[in-house]
Amino acid sequence: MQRSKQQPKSLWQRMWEPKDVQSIAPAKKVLTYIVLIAWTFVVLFPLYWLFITSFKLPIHVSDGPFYIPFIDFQPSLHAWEYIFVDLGSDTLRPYMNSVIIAFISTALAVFIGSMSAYALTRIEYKPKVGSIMGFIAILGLVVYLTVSIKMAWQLSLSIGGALFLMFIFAFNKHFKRSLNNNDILFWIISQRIMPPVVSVLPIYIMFQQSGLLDTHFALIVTYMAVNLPIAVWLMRDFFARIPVDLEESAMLDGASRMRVFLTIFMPLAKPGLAATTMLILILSWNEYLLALFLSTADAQTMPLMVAAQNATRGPQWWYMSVLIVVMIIPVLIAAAFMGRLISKGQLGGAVKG
Amino acid sequence: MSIELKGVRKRYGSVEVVKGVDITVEDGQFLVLLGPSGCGKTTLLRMMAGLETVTEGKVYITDEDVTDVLPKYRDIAMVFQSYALYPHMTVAENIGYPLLLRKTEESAKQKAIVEAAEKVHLEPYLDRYPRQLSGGQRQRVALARAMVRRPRLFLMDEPLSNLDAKLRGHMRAELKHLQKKLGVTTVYVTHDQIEAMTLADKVAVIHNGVIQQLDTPRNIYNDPANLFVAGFVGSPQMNMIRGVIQNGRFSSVAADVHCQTMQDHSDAVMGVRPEDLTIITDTQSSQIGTIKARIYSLELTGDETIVTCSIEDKVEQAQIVVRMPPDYEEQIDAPVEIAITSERIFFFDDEQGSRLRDNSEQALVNDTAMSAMS
Ligand SMILES: Nc1ncnc2c1ncn2[C@@H]1O[C@H](COP(=O)(O)OP(=O)(O)O)[C@@H](O)[C@H]1O
Ligand SMILES: [Mg+2]
Repeated sequence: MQRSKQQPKSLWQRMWEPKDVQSIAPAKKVLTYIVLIAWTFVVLFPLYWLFITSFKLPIHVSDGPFYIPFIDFQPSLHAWEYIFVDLGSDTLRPYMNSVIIAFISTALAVFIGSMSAYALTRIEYKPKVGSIMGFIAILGLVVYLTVSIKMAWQLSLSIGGALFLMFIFAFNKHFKRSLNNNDILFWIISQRIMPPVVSVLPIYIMFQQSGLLDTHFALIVTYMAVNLPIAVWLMRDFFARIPVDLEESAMLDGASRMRVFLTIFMPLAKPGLAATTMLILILSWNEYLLALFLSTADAQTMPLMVAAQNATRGPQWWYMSVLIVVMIIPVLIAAAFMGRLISKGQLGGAVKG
Repeated sequence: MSIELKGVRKRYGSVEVVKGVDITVEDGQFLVLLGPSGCGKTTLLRMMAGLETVTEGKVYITDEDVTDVLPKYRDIAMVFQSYALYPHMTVAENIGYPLLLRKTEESAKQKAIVEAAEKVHLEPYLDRYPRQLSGGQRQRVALARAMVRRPRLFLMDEPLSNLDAKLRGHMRAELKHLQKKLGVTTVYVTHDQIEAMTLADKVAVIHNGVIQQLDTPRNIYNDPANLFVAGFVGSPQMNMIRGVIQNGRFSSVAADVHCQTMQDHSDAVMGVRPEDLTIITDTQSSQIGTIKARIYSLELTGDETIVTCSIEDKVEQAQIVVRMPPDYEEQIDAPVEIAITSERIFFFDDEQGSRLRDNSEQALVNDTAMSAMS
């Protein structure tokens, strides 16, 4: 009873205590903002530095550091001129390559990934362990026939296919142990546990043998394959949170599968799709290692071009800065667009509890 | 439209949750599936809707085998236990969605939406989103969405569970009125026996995936098929006393009851409803039987007093409940004598839970079984 009586509080106490349950104490508020401002600085300063470096002469970099244009140093457009006028189409080509490869591979990864994520959350799969073993054994046989016996690959593949079909029809229903959706998901994610560098040589040789090195196709397919596991994994989580009841209810109301997908599922999946698209776009846009192996001139991408500015005459910071500044633009546009979709998340009230 | 389940079973892996169910719901009938949580009611309803595959057995809607027919071709409106509202649509859009799919003309659609909303008292909320509604309001949106069109079949999965008592009573009356007016065959799931008794033409009491009894509410109450039905239906619950039937008497530690026509049985349970008991004074006596007990607690509900008494049973202390007039008063722990006032006493086998019938009833049951077979 004593406690509830309002005792006058000292200024110090009032500093550290919120005035009601929904606000933050003044002193804590100040501390929070100090931390936030410091972090903002940490994040934004490199961008600022990049931007002003693109207007510096080599001498401003080597004699630096200079911080403020027009006061510390006189900005110059020489680097921009070199990149866009002197190099001209040699800049534009990698730029267009990057745009084409990143956007198409992202679109494909999200498209295919969303379908498999949808299937993994809506359909129950029970692949039989025995059948998988059989598949691996027959695959081994096909490789053996082709490589050691030197059988034509068309023939060995047909034999393998026929054998597998017979195997499935004869034995599939007799196998007891089976895997489930989680096992399939883990298998998909496991493709990404090892870094892509592990498989870069086989991929290189594959495209070399098929004469597809240094083409858009090679990079698009590779990026798509590398990013698919991430897309499936992220979207499965998003999709699993959308209650199946909603789709079932719409089906009972008379909607077709397509209609359910477009008018019920997609509006709710948008935030997840947008977040995944953004992440994969950034991964593809910045990818360096695979591009280094798979492209030389025609399909060269921007990260390679940036790195090339460090080639013969030492790091050319001013040229790199210009390239990086223009590299940021498409991603910023995409982020602004996707951000709007992400903020539209609204699953509240769909189902009980 | 009638719906019929024939020998329907559902297995999830090795677990069987519906174990051979036969139900026929006649055209325009209101069937309630009643049972405790987890007994398989929702699973049964989903199999009728086609949302769940049937492991074994057949489903017919008006004599047409729909076991493998997709939900969208069944023309069924369902209220989900989880509501399943579309969160990106307003209340009006939610209610109007089935009409939108049927390409109903705009003005007719708006009129139907408002009418459906009025039935569930949601007119002020038509422009809100589901997340801005309370649980009870959401449930009413789900109801309105089902009632906005006239399907062949209504399926409702605990549609009133989240409403407060007053609104629930009101919606119950509304539902029953509407169902009779539209004449749409309805299957309604609930674990609330009062809802089942008040709404149903027929009640199916389900336990562990098996139908225990399928009958009119009156018969379920007055003639329960087994111990489970007897205990599940009725509030307060039926009193159960364990004892022995010998020479036309049921006797236990506390009770002594006449049952001339019953055959001897060593592991019997006697069931008698609270309204068929009364507490008597020393000078009174009972024709049928009496039970010795002590007062445990008294609860005045307004129009009656629910008296809980403790009795000695074969193995442990048991309780029995008596309904008394509101002016009844007694001290806690006072020894009392309880008289049975009605012939409505039921006997069950303690182990099987099956009903023990007397000789004349036995003959009757056999008769109906015979005629049903032929
Ligand atoms: N998809 C499922 N997989 C496995 N078991 C399930 C599934 N759905 C329901 N069950 C089980 O089936 C039983 C009956 O469930 P349900 O029909 O929802 O019961 P009720 O609606 O009567 O409460 C429960 O024991 C539940 O655990
Ligand atoms: Mg249920």
